[in-house]
Amino acid sequence: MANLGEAPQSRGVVYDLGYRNYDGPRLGRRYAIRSLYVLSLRNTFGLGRGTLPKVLAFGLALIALLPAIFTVAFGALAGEDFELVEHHEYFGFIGIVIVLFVAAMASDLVGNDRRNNTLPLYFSRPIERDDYLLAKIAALATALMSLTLVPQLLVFVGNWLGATDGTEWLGDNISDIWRIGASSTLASVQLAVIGLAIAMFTTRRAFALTSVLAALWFSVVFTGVLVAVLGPGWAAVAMLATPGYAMNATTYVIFDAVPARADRLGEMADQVAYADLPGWTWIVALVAQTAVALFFAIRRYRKVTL
Amino acid sequence: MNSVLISLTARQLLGRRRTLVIGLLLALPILIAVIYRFSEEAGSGDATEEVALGLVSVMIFTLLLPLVALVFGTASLGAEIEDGTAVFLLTKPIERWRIVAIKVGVASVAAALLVVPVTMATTWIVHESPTADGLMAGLGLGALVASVLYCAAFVALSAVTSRALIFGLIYVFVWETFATRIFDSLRWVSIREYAYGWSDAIISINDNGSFYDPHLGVTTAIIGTMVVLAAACAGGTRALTRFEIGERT
Repeated sequence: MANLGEAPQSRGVVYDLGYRNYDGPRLGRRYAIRSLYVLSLRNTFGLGRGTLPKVLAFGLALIALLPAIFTVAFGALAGEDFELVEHHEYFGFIGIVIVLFVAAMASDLVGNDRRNNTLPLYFSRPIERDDYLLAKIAALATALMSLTLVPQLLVFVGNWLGATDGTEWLGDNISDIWRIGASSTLASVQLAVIGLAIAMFTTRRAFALTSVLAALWFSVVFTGVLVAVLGPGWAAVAMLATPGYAMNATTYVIFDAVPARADRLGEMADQVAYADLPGWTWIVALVAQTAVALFFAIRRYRKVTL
Repeated sequence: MNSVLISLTARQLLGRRRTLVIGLLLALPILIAVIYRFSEEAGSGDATEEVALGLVSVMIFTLLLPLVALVFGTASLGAEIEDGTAVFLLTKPIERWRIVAIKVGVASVAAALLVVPVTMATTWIVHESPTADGLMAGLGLGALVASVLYCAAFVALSAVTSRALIFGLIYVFVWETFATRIFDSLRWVSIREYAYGWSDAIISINDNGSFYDPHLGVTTAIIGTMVVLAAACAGGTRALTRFEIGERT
């Protein structure tokens, strides 16, 4: 009651209950974005949520890590020549695990806010629509790094420790570090943006999950079959338009591992070689797909009804 | 009461945009079959039974069939639980096993009605003959068995967990596709392999396993089928009897 009547008079209120207004420093937009990013990242791994999301996220991350663990373990036992999966094949090998992770997490990250009607709370903070999207994309991309970058680094470190002459091996293979970093970052950002862009068009989890899976995984299978019956020109177009192909081909290009022009049937690497395109085309395709998805996502969130 | 429940479930499953999308997805293998038939490849190169088997197994048995069954299987019971309408169902004097059986039955019929004709049509278009090698009938039977088994498994799964869809996807794509490719023995525990086992009863291709190679015999497939059905019905019923009405996390 002490301050009754002492509150600033400029606020035209009907009742003045004497509450004091906050006039300290405000943390602002950047702080809000960072908080949303950290919260979303924690949510993807189920931290601060129930048991089921934790099992799901850490389970998938563990499955993605298994080939790396096997490679390192058998490499240590069988000598340094043993390699179950090489760096440039890794994403292709665990592709479905990565896609399932994206599908599950993307449908949760944007879907939960709309199902629980928490979006108005976010947008009443000093956060712009684009900021919300950016924080979510950054969170999913970071989470994806644990499925793309971490296993690759594990293989690298494992091979290094298993080498007979560590210094010499490191000298020969140090360039793999930036290749690993670049390919994982590109793949993570691409999949995060595309996954979220698709997941945000529906509120139902089942629909979101299935659509992301269809766009990222079925498209790969469909294109794979299609390439087998099409001529080289159309096959190349189909591959350039498919996210999974752009991601894997970019990885091959970064690791300089596109095989010599091969028969179109067989492994994805052979099909990429069959398209016979210059390496940079695949990177452009990946960036273009990401940009298109980002454009639709931003447009979607500028118009979203709260 | 049974007929009410059956028609209600059928309406929940089929009367939506979902069916349209699934129909479009299922048109893809037929489209590819037609493209193949009219491309130069058809006359030369691989035998048509090899192409038909490859196309059906890659597009349908490992991709669309599990997906359709997964969507129908989890929607028939899981959607009721998610929307909260399961309460009205569970408070009616119907035995829980009957609810599970009806949900499994309707989902299986819906999935089979969509998938089996597509499987048979794709085989027919590529293989050019409806009877040769028993391929069309064999793959059709396999698709039927797989539809029923997947639906049963996923209805039971959706009674157990609210995240049945993602766990079902992990089973189908990580276990059946990924793990069985690395560890052969895991094929003993795979609905897809049971379906191939049933197909083998009709298909009469014998090429010493160069491209046609069912890993399980008919007997094993039948035993596996029985086990999956029994386990799914028992597990689903058990989960529904212990179902707690209220907030699920």
